[in-house]
Amino acid sequence: MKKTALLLMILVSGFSAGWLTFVPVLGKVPEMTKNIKSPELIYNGPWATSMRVGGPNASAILRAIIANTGLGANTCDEAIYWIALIDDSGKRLRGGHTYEVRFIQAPAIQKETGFWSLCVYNSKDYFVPNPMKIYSLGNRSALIKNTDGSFTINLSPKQPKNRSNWLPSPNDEEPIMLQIRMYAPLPEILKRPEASPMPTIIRVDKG
Amino acid sequence: MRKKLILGLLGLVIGYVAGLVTHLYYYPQEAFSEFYQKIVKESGEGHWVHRRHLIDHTFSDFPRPNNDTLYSYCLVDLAKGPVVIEVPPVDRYWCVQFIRDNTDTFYYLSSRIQGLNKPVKALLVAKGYKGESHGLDVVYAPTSRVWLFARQLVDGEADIPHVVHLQDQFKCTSLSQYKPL
Repeated sequence: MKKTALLLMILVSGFSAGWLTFVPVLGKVPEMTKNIKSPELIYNGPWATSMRVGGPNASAILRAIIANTGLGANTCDEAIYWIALIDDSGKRLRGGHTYEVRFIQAPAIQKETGFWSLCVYNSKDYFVPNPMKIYSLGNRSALIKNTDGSFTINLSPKQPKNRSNWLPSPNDEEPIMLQIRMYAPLPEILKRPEASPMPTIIRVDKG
Repeated sequence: MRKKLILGLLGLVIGYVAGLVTHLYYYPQEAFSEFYQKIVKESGEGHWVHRRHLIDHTFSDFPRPNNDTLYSYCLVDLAKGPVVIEVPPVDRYWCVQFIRDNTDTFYYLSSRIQGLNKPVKALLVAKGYKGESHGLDVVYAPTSRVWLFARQLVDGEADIPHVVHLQDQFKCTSLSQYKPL
């Protein structure tokens, strides 16, 4: 009797510890697994997305991650969310540095009913406080573009020459993430998201 | 003695993994519940609750919000009866996302599907509903509690009053009180 009671106590203690540490562990999973390729994700340069977001085919872990850091995320027919934790050279994106996010073309969304935007989140998954209140750039922004439709967005703590193409990042070197939203994406993107033309992310400051 | 120690350790590890995995599967429901209860406590159930501002760094309903649309929420408990959802004619991107209590999305009303500039209505009912459709499109919810999450695109600060006016025309009426024009 004593042995079973003891074993039961051990199991229950273990169970409680597992239950209670789940949310902190969950919070660390995306960062810890960022260099591991998941079968649920589509990779495109430094960008990743999942076509299973918000739907019944998401794995338990994907559903839990989205519930934790993207509660209410749309299914891919309505919106595709691309995130980047690294730049093109594979290094972690951080505040304090200057990056160029170079678009060959604007993200492919439905003309009348769609929109796209690029934003940056700080290490707490919220917007970077800045007095100019610039939190995202997208198809409604007055971006300076080249004649062929390509354009560059500058991600940095200090305002560059073109303020219209500036996305403020934090001053300190905390890890940050970029997110591109494509609302009402075109059918060809839904069919082959891995072939969607995505911008490159190049760090341009030294050191 | 050693055997007992190993057994005990094994018991701890098995218990730990079981606790972790059980919470993993329960977590989405928990996150939904927390959000549902928070909004209902602040603003009530069964009617549209609107966020009137473009989100900035002070927003904290949930992580990674967007800075492009105005959010509206309607939290519905279908155990209290069916509801009629009405969307006014909207002249820009809009959607109403229907979310079940494990956070999966099960239906959309959206500019992508219904188009722009015309009113859209739907009757949201519990799974076993066998009543009349009242001439409306019937949407069967897989769970009793549903989070209706609406978004409308905003083109800068100056556009907000117009979108606020559109938000105010969204309706959620219990079927028993619904009177079609």
